[in-house]
Amino acid sequence: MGPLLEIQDLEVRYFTGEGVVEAVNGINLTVDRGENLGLVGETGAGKTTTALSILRLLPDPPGRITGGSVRFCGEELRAKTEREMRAIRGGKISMIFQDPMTALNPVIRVGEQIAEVILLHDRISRAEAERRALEMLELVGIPAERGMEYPHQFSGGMKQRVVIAIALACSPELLIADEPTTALDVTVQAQVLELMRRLREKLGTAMVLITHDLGVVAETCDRVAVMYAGEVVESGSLEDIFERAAHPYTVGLFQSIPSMDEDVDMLTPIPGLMPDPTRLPKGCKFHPRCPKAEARCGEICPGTVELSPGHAVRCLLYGGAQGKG
Amino acid sequence: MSKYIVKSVLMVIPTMLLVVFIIFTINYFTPGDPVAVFFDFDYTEEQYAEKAAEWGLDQPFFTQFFHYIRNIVTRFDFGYSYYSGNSVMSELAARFPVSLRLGLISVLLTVVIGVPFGIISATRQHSALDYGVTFVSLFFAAVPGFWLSMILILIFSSRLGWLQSSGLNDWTGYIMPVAASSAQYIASVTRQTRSSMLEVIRQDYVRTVRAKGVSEGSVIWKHALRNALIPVVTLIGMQAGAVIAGSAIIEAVHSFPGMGSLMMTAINNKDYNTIQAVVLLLSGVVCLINVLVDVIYAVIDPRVKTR
Repeated sequence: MGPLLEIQDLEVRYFTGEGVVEAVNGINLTVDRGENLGLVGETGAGKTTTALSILRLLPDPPGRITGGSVRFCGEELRAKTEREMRAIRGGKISMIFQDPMTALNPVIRVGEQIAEVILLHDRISRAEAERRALEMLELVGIPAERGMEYPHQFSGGMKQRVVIAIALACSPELLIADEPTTALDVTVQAQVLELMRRLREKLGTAMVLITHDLGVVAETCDRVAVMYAGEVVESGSLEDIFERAAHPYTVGLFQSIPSMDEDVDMLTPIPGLMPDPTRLPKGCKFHPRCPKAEARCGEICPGTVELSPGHAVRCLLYGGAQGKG
Repeated sequence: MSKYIVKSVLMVIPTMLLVVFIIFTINYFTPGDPVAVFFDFDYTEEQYAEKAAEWGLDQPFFTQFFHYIRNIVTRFDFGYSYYSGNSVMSELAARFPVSLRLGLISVLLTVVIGVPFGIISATRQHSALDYGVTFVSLFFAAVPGFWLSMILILIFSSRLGWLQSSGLNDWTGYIMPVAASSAQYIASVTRQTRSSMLEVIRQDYVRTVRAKGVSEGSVIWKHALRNALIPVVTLIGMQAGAVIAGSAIIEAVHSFPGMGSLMMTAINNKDYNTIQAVVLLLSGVVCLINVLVDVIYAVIDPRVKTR
């Protein structure tokens, strides 16, 4: 049995008035059944775009998938009809969005919002779907009677629990969580992550966790992929990335956050800003900010090199000069 | 919910009292003598005093005011028309249903035409249909109603002879006034629905709904529309008030026997009682429409009740 999700050479562009935004540039990712992949990177690295492309929910216009393949359970999602995609969305692949405050329809009762997804994907009666929706509410720690209430009567953390209940109501095989805790208080963050972990273990759901919080990744993920300017610059197991980081960008990321073990006076931020995605630099896209950049980095686009089984990096320091431009 | 409705209805009472007071005061101090107008400026001293006493015009301001309110509240009596001598109530009873019908038909048309075109235009943004709808609605939003009235009369009465150019003999008499008074509102409701819809379909919760696997039709009609309708309801409420209140000029162009033309006649003849009654009735209608709009808000958006 192949991987649950396999993304190959995915390319996404936003065609805007100011130019073509090269949001995702040929990324490769795989997620196995039950596995947790952390997708890490700065704002604008293309993490959310990648996630939306999987479900084919890119706002079109201006966004469009221009190349590559997305295979789920061995089937090409890009070849599916809109109707087939609807059966997958919310049923087999669910998504949790960043801001719980705006993620729920303000004019529909939360119980009904959960029941809706159940009714769409399971062949059961409305009454049964409503009963199961209330069960889901209880499961995420909200009393069932609050299913009659509207989103504005819930706090941010509670709303995110409702969103999780919607996402997991049909026991999907893959959950894409796009910064699920970024908008929440720190104490609530921990509760929500714990809740997600508990439910996923119960349902056997695999997850792609999109975040820029390396602490969250360390706590929840089995494997990590680091994105920069629409490319996966390094990927590997949690240990590979956290203990044997190879790409200068990954190294920079770790130097820019405080560590529990080492006592440093000053954090070292990565100099500069993310490049303008309508005018990405030639060669390695990180070279203008890279402390180890050489002359050839501005010329040659590095290919992917496998350092050890499962630990891949895209940097000329480790070879990869023969990689495709 | 019922508490919310009762609260909205009770708010109408002080508003109406204030309206009565203001209208009455303005009319009281406005120059012009209704008794003189009644006798066509040809009267004796005794005749004048007798008529003034009959209408209560010899009383002090506050006595007149309380008298007026008492008659309205207890007997629905708005006094006599200084101009025709008939009771104002009988004039209103003849005119108001006509204007009400005109208003309701044009509101209905606005909803039935404006909202769907707004939605279609928004969901197919940048399509030829969208540009077409935008162009046509921009045109009608910009054109004044009375101009449209004249053009309609020119085409359908003078040129084609299909419709009567004035008056109201049967239902066909409604066609041109309804068209002229609703075109502008259909256009603005279309535009409002479009922009409101465009804003809503970019919201996060619509993305959530799509991620649940909901079909596009259900996304638009079940999830997005309810959220997009709030500003549209406001606009339609305002229109209903304005049309029932009488599009005075449009009614005049079509010689349409509604509230607008009644008010014009009353103003020209210093017919204070009628003016007062018309303004009062119309403010009452506007207040009731506001209550209705508030209730519809609360039905559409549960957040309104807690505000």
